[in-house]
Amino acid sequence: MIFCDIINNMNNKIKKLILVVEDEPNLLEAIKRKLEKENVNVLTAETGEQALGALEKQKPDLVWLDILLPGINGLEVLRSIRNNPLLKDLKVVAVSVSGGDDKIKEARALNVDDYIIKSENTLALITKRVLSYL
Amino acid sequence: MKLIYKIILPIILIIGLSVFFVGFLSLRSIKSGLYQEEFLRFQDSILKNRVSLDPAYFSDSFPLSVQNKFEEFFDSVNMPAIARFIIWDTKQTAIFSDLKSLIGFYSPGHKDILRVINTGKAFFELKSIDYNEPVQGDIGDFLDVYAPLELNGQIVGVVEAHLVLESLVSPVNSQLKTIIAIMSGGGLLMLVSILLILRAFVIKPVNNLEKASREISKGNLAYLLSSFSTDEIGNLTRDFDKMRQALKLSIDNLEKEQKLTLKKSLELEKQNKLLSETGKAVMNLLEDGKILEENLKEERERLNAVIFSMGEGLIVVDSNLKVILINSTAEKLLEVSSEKAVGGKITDIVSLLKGEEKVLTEDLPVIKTLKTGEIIEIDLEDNCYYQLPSGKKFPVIFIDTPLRGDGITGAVVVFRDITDEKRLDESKTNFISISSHQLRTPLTAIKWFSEILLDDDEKTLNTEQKDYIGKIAQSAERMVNLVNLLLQIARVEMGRLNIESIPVDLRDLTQKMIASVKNILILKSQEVEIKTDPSNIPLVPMDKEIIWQVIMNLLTNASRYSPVGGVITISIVLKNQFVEYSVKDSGIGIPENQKALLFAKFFRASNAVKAVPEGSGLGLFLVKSLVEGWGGKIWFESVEGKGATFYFTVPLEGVKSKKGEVTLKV
Repeated sequence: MIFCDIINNMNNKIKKLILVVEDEPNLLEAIKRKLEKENVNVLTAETGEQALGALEKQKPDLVWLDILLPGINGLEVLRSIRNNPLLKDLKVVAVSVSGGDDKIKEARALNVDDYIIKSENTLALITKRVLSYL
Repeated sequence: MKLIYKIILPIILIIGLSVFFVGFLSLRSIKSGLYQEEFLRFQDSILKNRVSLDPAYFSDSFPLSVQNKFEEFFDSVNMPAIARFIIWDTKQTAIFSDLKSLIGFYSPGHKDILRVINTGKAFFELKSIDYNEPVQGDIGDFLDVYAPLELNGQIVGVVEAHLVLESLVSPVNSQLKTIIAIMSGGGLLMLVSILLILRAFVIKPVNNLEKASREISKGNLAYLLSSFSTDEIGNLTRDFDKMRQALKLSIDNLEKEQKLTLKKSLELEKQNKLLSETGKAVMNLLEDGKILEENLKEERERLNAVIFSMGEGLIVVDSNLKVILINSTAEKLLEVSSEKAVGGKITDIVSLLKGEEKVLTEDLPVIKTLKTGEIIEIDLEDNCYYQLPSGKKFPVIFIDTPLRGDGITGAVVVFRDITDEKRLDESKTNFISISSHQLRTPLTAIKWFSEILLDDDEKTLNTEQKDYIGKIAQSAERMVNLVNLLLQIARVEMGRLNIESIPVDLRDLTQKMIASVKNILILKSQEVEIKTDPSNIPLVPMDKEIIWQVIMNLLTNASRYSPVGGVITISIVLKNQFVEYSVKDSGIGIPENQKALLFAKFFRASNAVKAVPEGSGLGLFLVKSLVEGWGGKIWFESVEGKGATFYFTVPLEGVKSKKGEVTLKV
């Protein structure tokens, strides 16, 4: 048991933190549930502003970034991250409902780690792909 | 008057006058000679006989005896022609006369007697009959002779005698008449001989000449004329003949020329006729032209009515961009009056913006039209605006058409304010992009929660419940596909697709595609064969995403409607100017009576609905739109129950890149 606890503690210590940015609350909840099930700590933000606010307080291991957001959109959040010397190496995976070439190109230009289209994949597949960047 | 008369008459006149003058003058000189002679004889007789007289006879008394002495004296003088004889004394009293009644007649101041007394010389004068004096019968004119009676050196009286002229001249007269007659005869003879000479040497040759000239003037140029004479007329005749010959020659030439001219004039007449016919034709044409003109006028009025009532703005400019015509719609849209606009430059009333940027004058499409004659169409996608001098601007589409006369004389600009269309278009674009997000987000949520439920680790759900959730997830999946297809179709139909042309290897693309659908193919144990002819198909510049969509739709259809273990054959064949791509399946095929509708939107063949209920009927419609969009053709061959082959073509030159607002990928 002690061994198990040690492992758990170790696990807790090494538990990764992912910031999920998603404006649709239902989707956000589904993602959070799924990620937590995968033993990842989850921070959430529903808008670009919230995301940037959260990043000021805490640096996650990865950002799960929706692109189409009200207000400051995902690409602008990405740009802010890349322009911030403290955050510029942060892993960012764009997960968008839209697979428009221009958006993908722009995201790639901003050094996005991956660009996944929501509707084409199951949540399990997306989660697996995102976690592979940790 | 004939020449002969002209010559003869003056000659007659001259001879007549000469004869007359010669006769007259000789008569006169003879007469005066006679008078002189008679006078001298008389004087002589007086001088000779005066000795018989005594100065005493001339005293104041007139003794009768003296009368006898005077009578004797008178007799001794005795001249046959004396008609009167008077002796005057110095007191001018007639002391003797043959007419006794005159004796004693006193005539003081008798100037003839005084003259003799004063000069002491005799004289004579001619006198006509003095009817105051008594005459004895008709004796004609007189020669009055006065002579002094000089006795012992003293003039004692004057003798006056009247001599009858007739008696003096008559013998001479008859002689003279004879002379004149002879002279006249000689003149006549001379005349006749002159005449004959003239006739022989002048008149006849002249007549000949005259006759010749008459003949020649009549046109008888062959009339021969000759003369052997060496005189002037002979020369004249020969010269005349030379002239005739020359004339004949020139007339002959003239005739020749005339014949030629006649020939020519006949031709000319022909041409004239032709010309007049042409003239008539031209007149007809002109009349037709007039009718045409009227028609044209009507047409022009109609055109004007159309131009001025049309909803589009219309501006006609000349080659210098000067406005020639502006219709009322253009006036309204450009906020300018026709009076102000016409004559000015189009660039003064409106400027063109492309997006936010002002287009420079030299880059204006209308300049290109004027230069090249190209018809330039600016549509919604070109994102052009007209800006007025006031700063107001509105989105516009327009078409520039060249006006052709002698070269390109101007251009017609027809434009439309597309503010409303632009708004509509923007809202459409917005709808598509928003819906692509908004529609799929909830569907994704459904999918993902279904997924979470199905992943249930705690096994709280029974099999039935899991089955239901699976169906929800499936429907959500179909819904996502349907929404994706609809959005793609909307984008294609909008014509706003972004096309990025890159060289595509069709075989390579097909292989990648087969790999991407490997799961489905394995599920149905299906195989895909690729045949290419020739083995290396050239690269074709295409938008990869678009051609991917087309082939993917055909491939998934082939798989979907083919049985388990079926074979799908893809052929890529190089034809003349294009590549023919075909996908052959061993599926259910297409019923004959439904073939015509196969590419229609939402259409599904009855056997397809039975075999695969969840199809949308949009896939082939999208495929057809895309193929036709790149200038290709699409068709199929099928027998129901025996599979189908779908063909499409790709032109070898491929497609050009085109900037659009949306991509096919949703």
